[in-house]
Amino acid sequence: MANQHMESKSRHPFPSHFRTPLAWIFILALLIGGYARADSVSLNADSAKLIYGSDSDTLTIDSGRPLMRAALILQALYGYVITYEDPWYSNSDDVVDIAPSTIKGYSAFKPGNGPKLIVPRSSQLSIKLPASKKLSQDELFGRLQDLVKLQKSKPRGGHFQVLQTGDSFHIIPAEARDRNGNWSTQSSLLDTVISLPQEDRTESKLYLAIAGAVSAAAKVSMTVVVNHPLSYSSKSDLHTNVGASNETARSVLMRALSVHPTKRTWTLMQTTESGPNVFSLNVMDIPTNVAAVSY
Amino acid sequence: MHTNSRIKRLLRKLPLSLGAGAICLLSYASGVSASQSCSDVTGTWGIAGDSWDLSHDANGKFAGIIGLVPGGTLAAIGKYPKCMGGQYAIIGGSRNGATVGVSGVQLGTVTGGQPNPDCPTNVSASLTMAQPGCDHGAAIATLDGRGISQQWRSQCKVPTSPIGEVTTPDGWDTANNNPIKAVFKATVQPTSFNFGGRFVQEDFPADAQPAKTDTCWYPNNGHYNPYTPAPKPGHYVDSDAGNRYEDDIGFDGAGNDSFGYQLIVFYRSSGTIPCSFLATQKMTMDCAQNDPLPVVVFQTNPLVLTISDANWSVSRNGVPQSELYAPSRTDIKSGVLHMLWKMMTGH
Repeated sequence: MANQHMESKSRHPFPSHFRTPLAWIFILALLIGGYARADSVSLNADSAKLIYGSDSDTLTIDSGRPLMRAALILQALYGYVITYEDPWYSNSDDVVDIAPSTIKGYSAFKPGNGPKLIVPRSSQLSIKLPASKKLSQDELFGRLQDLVKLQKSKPRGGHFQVLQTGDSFHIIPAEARDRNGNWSTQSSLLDTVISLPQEDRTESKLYLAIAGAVSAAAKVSMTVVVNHPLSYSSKSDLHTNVGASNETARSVLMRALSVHPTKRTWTLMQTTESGPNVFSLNVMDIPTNVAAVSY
Repeated sequence: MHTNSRIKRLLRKLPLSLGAGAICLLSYASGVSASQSCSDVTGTWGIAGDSWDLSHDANGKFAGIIGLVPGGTLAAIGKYPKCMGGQYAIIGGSRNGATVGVSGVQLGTVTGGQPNPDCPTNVSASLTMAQPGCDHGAAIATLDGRGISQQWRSQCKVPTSPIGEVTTPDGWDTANNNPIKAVFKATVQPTSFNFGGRFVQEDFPADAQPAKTDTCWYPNNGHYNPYTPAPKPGHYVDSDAGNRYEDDIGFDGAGNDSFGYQLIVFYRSSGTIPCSFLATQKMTMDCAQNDPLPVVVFQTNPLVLTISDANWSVSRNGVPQSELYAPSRTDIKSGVLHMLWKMMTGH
């Protein structure tokens, strides 16, 4: 499965510096061909709410990344690390152009001439959670499986699977529709095997090195964000000599997270705004406040 | 042509470029160092129940009264069982950073009276003022040459008039290679009261924040989560420097690989500009932990960081600083179109 995915990625015939313009061409082609859905605010919802009840709480999500939003809230609720990885969207029905509702001054463009802003199309999920603030690893694994099953029942978006490593959980892609609408198996970009020289680096540089290694091996462009760039981050200059020898990127990332004294997690998003091969690895302190991730 | 080449290089690099550098919205004063020290020694300091009412003037001259009580240092040293306490006049003192030395003699002898033989004739103390609050610390109290270690504390010191602050712009933090981090100097008021050595704490209480703290972010953004303000360590008020502290607001790092550059270019490319990151910063003056005085918010500063077509602007409490930074949205758009045209036509 992983090999199949890697082979398809390694067939990319273009040098890396052409990838961004090609991504734009890809997006424009999708839209000129009429594949992309009409833009609509309703297709671009992005909300996650936890409604507290006496016996159970209800998590209701309407988002282009419903499982990512669920993971953020579950981490804030139960304190476990739950990482999330986007599928590799290639079907135009899975994305939506939000330019008209998002880009300032869009109405000044002539019809059909405006820029595009492509993001995953929203879908809804709702799940009951126990009112208890403590959940065992097995119970959490079960809830995550429930979410994955729910998502699988949806006609759009990716299908996922749950992995557990130690007391951390990973929501990773399993299937997505290809350009023809057929469900095809996907493997995780973070299953990419990488090697890094063991040398002294700052923590941030380590994340960058991991992303760089994945980018090179998988022929993608992976950027890194550590928390929000405007948020104060203590001890951001910690040093480490973590290296890797033929190890999956996920495993190296897990070791990288352990460098920081604060519990950390990540989301790996396909930055569809920038093209089909662009990903953003967001490393962040684990959310501790449900309200802060209930935007 | 030159511009197009530059833009092309920039856009080629953007998705691959990976930022480095520390991250902070409000990094605390770069002047924080080992030289930090508390500077105000006035007030009544309690040492083991004794009362040390000290003051010193602008010339460093100390004055005041020391009141010993039976159960205080006298009892701790244990040599004066008959002494029912006494008062001592400060006759000398010195200050070296956060350490103060004072000495006194029995008050009665200052005016020519006879010393009370049941009580020590000379008292002195070496006091070190500690942060936070500069209102507590370690002391060595000495009675006629016999010393004992004690802890001291005083009430959290605040002026009688309301505290406030004045913000002034001070350019960009280029000295530390942070060209998009705005430097502001804040002067705590009233300047007649010495806050030297104290820390101004900041907080961003959720219920005080603007309804929307990130107008750049858009739903299902594939690169950034929305910005939510968060506090960082306190701002040091320069010792004996007119109640001034520094508040740096913006991104750390420089160059096309920095997180700030990437964020600004990303949102310009996305077309959500002009847009801002907003926060309401509430300032309090530190006191020792567990001080019975309530913490008082003495200043509320709206913070606004704005990305516009070509400018990067930072404003603190209405005091703005702005600079041209990174390619404008117009340049980015023309760069993209130029590249697409070149790829399609080969020209």
